[in-house]
Amino acid sequence: MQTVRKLQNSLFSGLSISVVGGIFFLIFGSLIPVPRDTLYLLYTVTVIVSGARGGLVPGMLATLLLSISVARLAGIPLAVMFFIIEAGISLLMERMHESGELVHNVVTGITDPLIVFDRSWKCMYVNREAEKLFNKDRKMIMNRNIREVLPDVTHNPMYSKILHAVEDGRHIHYTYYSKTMETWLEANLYPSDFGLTILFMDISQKVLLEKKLRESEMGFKSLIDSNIIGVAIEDSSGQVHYANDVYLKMIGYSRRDLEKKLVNWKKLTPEEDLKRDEQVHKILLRKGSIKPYEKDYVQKNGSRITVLKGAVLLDRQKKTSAVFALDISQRSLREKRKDEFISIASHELKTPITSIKGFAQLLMRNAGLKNEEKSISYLNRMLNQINRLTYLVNDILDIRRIEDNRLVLSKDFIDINQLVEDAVKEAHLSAPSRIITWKPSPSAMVFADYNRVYQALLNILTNAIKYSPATEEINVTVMDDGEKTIVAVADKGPGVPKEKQVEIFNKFFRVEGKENASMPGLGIGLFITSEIIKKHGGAIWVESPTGARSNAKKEKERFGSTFYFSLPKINKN
Amino acid sequence: MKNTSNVWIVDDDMSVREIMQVILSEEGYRVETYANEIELLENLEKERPSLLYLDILLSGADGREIARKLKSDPRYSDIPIIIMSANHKFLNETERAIANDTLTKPFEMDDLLAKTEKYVNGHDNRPS
Repeated sequence: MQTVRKLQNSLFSGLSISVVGGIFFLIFGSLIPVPRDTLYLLYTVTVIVSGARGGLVPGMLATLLLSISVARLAGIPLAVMFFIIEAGISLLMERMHESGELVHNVVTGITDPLIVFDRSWKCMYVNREAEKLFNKDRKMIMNRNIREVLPDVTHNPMYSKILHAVEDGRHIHYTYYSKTMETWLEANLYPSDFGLTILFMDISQKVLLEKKLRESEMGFKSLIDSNIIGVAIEDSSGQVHYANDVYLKMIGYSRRDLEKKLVNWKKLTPEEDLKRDEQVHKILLRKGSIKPYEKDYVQKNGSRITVLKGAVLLDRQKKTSAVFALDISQRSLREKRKDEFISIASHELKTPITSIKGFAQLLMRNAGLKNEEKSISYLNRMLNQINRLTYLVNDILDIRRIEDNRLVLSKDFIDINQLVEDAVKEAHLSAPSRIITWKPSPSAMVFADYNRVYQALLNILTNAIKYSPATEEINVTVMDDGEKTIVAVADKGPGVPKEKQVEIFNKFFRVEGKENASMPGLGIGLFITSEIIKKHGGAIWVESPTGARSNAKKEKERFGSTFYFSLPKINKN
Repeated sequence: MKNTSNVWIVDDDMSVREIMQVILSEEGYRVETYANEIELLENLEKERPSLLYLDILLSGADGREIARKLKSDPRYSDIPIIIMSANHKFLNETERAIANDTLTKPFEMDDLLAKTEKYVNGHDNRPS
């Protein structure tokens, strides 16, 4: 490229030199006669040298010699001829320069590794990117044989094909793994008259991605083809566009139905769940995926099936999503049977309790009539335990009701003061030695289910008795702030640590720690209590002075806890 | 008055029939117990009780249904019915409305006696 540039500059610089050279030749040529054939030979050689090596001097020399020879032959004055030839050559040089510049720009603009070999397979050009790719210096590549520069290519089984292609002048393109560079490369070979240009592309990332994609596609396909999970593709309108066999079997439709566009998830959804599922679909469009949730599908024949359904958004614009459904009918049937079993078992337990309690009460009455104090005392204990058993069975039944959302309230206007008095009396019956004080509020009328609130308060009182020392008082206070009535039960037990103050109302939460290790209970009392209060639109919480520890061992470490629940004054819902 | 009062108990569990019979008999009531709907209906043809305790969950029948039938039959509609349920003391409003009262199992003896007396006397005192 340097040559081209230099030649371009020869138009004016060459002019002065040509004038000087022409005058020199005029004098010199007339003094020494030169044969015409020699002049032609000299001209040709100079032009070839100029073309091959470039450079200002050979270029000027060629111009000069051509001028002289043509001038002599045609009999045109030398000066005129010199200018004609100079102009012609300059024009040619300019053209050459333009195309050379273009080639230069194109070649340097290539950001992919590029290497050029001549017909004897020696490297005649290599760009920086190729140097980087082969991790070799220019000096180690230039003028070296292709076997030395690209051992991976020449050892490739395709090498003979490459050679043939080059011979035939065909472009070839192939991908190979370079062991020396541990890289996947794509080579584009462009043969030409002067040799071979090779353009490389590092496609390791692409190959890796393709591999991963292939693997995930394989995984996805095997998931679809497996007979474990139902997969379908649906859109916002409800149309199911694709479904695997499992999915179709699950919903009881045939592939023909699917092709006829008869499958629509809105039709598959029970009417009562449609609103919920439309909400779920909105979340899917917003978040891109939905966590699996249990739902029923209405099959083609009208029967129902319970599935665990999850979905991911495939195309935000088209609003298509992939749906995964797992048939859990068997599991949900088992769950249902287990629940029924618990309900029936609890119910059945009550029959013998009724009989035992009845006879114990009869005995108690008779002992009372005869003033048999010992018997009365024993029977009292027996009846307390029977009541405890009854409450436990009731709690188990309540858990079932809460889980099934069947906790029904029978509300009326009730006096909380009266309710507290009744509950304190009953709690006292089970622990006659305990001191339980209670303070009423001047006004404490609420609209609530007496039996349920009574049950809630009795639960809290039973816990206070259970978890605080027998010598300590339990204080119940009723407060009223005009909007709600609050009941507070304070004990001097070990207290509830801050981090447990919310958790304590969870289902199956059990108090842990050495001191309370022996504390009995199913861990459902406070959960039921909390559910009852929440169902009334009220709130429940516990407060313990800072520093309360669940495993406080010493008496002085006891801070106590106060359980509160509030009920709205008027709530007829 | 108690001697002439006739309290019927319909429950499919013998132990419940037994304890109720013992308690009420000791109080001087005349007590008849039946295990199912058929026995009840057969005997209703011949005699009528002053008060009927009816279990909600009878094997093969629903106590609520029986109560509904009796209450809608002019021949028996004035017989006081107390529905018994082992399924907690929280019967819903509709269930309560079918019968005159409810009794939860296990019951308090005092509750059983108070309710019995209330309805038996109420029934007997009713002007015929």
